[in-house]
Amino acid sequence: MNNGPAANWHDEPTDFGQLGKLPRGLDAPAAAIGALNITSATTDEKLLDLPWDLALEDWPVANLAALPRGLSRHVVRFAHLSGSVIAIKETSEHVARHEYHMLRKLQRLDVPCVEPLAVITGRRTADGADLDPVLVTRHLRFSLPYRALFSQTLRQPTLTRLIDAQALLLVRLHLAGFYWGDVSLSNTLFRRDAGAFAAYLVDAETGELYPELSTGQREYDLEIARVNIAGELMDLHEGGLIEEKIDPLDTSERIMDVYRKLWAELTGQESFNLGERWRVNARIRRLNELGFDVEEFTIKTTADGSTIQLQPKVVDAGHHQRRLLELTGLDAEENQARRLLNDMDTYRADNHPDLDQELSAHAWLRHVFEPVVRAIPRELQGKLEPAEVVHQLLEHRWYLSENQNRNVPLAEAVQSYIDTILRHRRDEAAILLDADAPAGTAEPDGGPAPAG
Amino acid sequence: MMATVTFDNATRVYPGTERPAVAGLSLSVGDGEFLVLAGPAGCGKSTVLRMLAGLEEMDSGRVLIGGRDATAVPAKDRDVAMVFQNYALYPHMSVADNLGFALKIAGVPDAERAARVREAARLLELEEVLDLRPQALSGDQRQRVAMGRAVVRRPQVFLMDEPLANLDAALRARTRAQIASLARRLGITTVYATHDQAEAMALGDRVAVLREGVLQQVATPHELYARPANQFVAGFIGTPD
Repeated sequence: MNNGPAANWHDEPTDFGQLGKLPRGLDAPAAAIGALNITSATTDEKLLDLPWDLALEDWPVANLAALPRGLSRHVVRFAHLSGSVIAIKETSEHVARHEYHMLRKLQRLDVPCVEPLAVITGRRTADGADLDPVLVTRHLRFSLPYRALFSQTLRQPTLTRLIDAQALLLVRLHLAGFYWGDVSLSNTLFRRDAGAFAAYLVDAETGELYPELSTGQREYDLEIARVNIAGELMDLHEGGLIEEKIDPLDTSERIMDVYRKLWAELTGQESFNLGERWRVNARIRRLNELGFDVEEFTIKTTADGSTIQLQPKVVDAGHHQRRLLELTGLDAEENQARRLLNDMDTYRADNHPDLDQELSAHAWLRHVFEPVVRAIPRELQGKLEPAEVVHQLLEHRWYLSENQNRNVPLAEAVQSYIDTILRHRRDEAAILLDADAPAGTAEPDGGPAPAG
Repeated sequence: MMATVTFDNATRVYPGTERPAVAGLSLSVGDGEFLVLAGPAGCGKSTVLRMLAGLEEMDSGRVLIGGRDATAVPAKDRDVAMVFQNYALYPHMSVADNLGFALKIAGVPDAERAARVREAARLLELEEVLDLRPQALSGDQRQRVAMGRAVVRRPQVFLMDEPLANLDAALRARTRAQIASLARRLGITTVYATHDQAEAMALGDRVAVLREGVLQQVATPHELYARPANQFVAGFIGTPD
């Protein structure tokens, strides 16, 4: 039931060819006084049920999904909308519009980021006072802010994996021509990915898109990343939330090392003798191992024809994801896909060595993946994504078999996994835990100071 | 130490584009001057700042800082402070630590760091709150802490790229006034980029107006009003944002 104000809905096409910052002066046409002005590609009437006439700080608890809030300079709140969770950020109209279109561009480029839903302007209180415009994005299911990835202290191995995921995200963004301008753990969400993490961009406010980036732009982003990550870790240190032995400065350097190695492997030029042509395939295999496909190579031969110069020109992340999707229709993160494909290969060797890959993949889906997913009781389905459950189950089965020195059957491993592991995990579909910022406290920054 | 800045015929063409982002820029900024780079999005302001910071290679021309050719000097050795558009304060760290963390990253010894933090706090009237956590501060105070992060670095030159763009109107006006008074008290050469003509005219000792990478005019705000060099300049400064 909608008792809210009238609203003008309009779609605002994204200019996918526009470079750099969004030009000013493209703000939406003014709505009638007292009417909300909603820019969105979809029309979800339920959006009008939210209390837009209140400042976000004053939203009633009933409207809020109790999710942790990261470090933000804006007031950000999470709410329920039609069965999903949305993030709402108060900001200026131009900034909201810039970010809305930037996220749409990034989505089209297949870069991992949150989904933009709407920009809402024309908000007024019951007394007629103007309220800040908001950007609405859809919360990524099963994604976690870095501060929710540990309950007591952040340990070195987790931190290393977080930074590796962040470096990979930055490389992917830079390959797409996106200069971020505010790289930090706080501006990133993480999804579990078979023992590692997959990183998603959540804040594109300072971002700019170009046909390609200069070294200076990439280096600037890296410097921002290093300083911000060091600051974030120093803060955790101060709060006693990080292993004592972790050095924030040394650790923050890791993003530069990992990034540079990855960038060199993905874009670097390689020269070799004509007789070493196998090195072309070796390079492709190395890139596949890193999770990238090569769409295009530049291959040049020196004038005397003795040396070949090889440089990947277009690389595309998601090598294993695509292969898993082709074979099974399953959509998973890169490392989960790699893990499941490995299991599929083992399954084929053990059970159907004569079947071709596609047929054995279907058999694996029917006899391994689906039974595991079906065995998860309904009340435990919000704990983890299905692909992550299957990955963990496979790990669990391996440990059981090692310990008991026998080949533990799948059904037995599933039951053991559910009882000893899954049941004791928290729900991560829409994570509720944050040791630092319990729901209802002030924003660490940008929000109100606590009373008293 | 004199911290003048000179661009000598500086040009930058981004890979994959035809038109230079900045074309043949020649511009001098005086020691202690507050120079504003103004113009619409895409006019090359940020590129000019990044060239000065050493974060953008130049296709031709030179940049001089304090009279020395800095064109080939790496960013970390240039002694310029790019004021990040990042105002997130760290909740577990005291105001003093929030101010000084970048110095720690840069390896500045503890005693000197403490002295610089105290000095910045004095200038920004944050002495009383140095031991508090950010949660206990007002919005204004938080903004000053964010600014103080650049002040403690005591660079030869401050670079500010739309530092106010993401603030709401009220906070923007207050912060603008603080930046103006702070820059004058510190006497540090400042290059400040903004698309907002009102901000440019309020802050700049002189304002350099750019259009599509080309410098149109550089003059005091009064002169720009009185004698705009062309129609673009007249239009730009005549239309409040």
